[in-house]
Amino acid sequence: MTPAPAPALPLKVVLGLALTILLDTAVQLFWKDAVSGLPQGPLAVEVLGALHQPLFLLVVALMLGQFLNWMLVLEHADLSYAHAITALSYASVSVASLLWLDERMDGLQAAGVVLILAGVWRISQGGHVSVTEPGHER
Amino acid sequence: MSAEALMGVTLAVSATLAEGLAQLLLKLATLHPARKWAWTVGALALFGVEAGIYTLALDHLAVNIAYPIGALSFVAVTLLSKLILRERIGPARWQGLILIMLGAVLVASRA
Repeated sequence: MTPAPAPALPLKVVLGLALTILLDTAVQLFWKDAVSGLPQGPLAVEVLGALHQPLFLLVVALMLGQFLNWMLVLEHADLSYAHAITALSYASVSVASLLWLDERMDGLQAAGVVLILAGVWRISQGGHVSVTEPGHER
Repeated sequence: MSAEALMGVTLAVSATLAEGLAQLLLKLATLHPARKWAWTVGALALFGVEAGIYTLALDHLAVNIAYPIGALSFVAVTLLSKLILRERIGPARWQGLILIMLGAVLVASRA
């Protein structure tokens, strides 16, 4: 007997996961940029500097958006599925920092990005929700 | 392994467990609307604990060791999803998870 096909991934889950990766990548890039613009000195000086740095406020706003979006994703997908897909941000941050922050990527890191992409592709071949079991009605 | 490194690794692993538990509470918040806020506040508190523990870990470990340990959160989340949420983890999800873990360690290897 052939196994039942995995249920189709709803568009809202696809968009939610894509937004998760996008926001995570943006947070990492802006955070790095904001940190490099901080005044050097004691911790108190750096904290005060951060409060006056618009990029830090943008990072906080993006994190809030990230949290709200993540709650919506979790309403429609398994935690073990959605959380694994977010590993794509390891790849997107590596590539984005190469393009916008002039950071470097060596062969080993590039191989890592390929492995992550392969892993996410493999996970996407399975279903995004489990069969509901007693006590965990969806 | 030196005592300091052992302490650092213990702290970093503890941080990934806190992350796994926080994610679990967020999922529970979506499954049980009546207790949504309690689970959510608990999750946010755990994220705070995670940040604190990870900061302490960085006091004992180089970031290129601490960061790959963070990839263990994928394992923690998957195991907690299976044990607590009764999610069904098929072969595709396990295989993908192993590939992601290997990839994350390679990406972080030059951190």
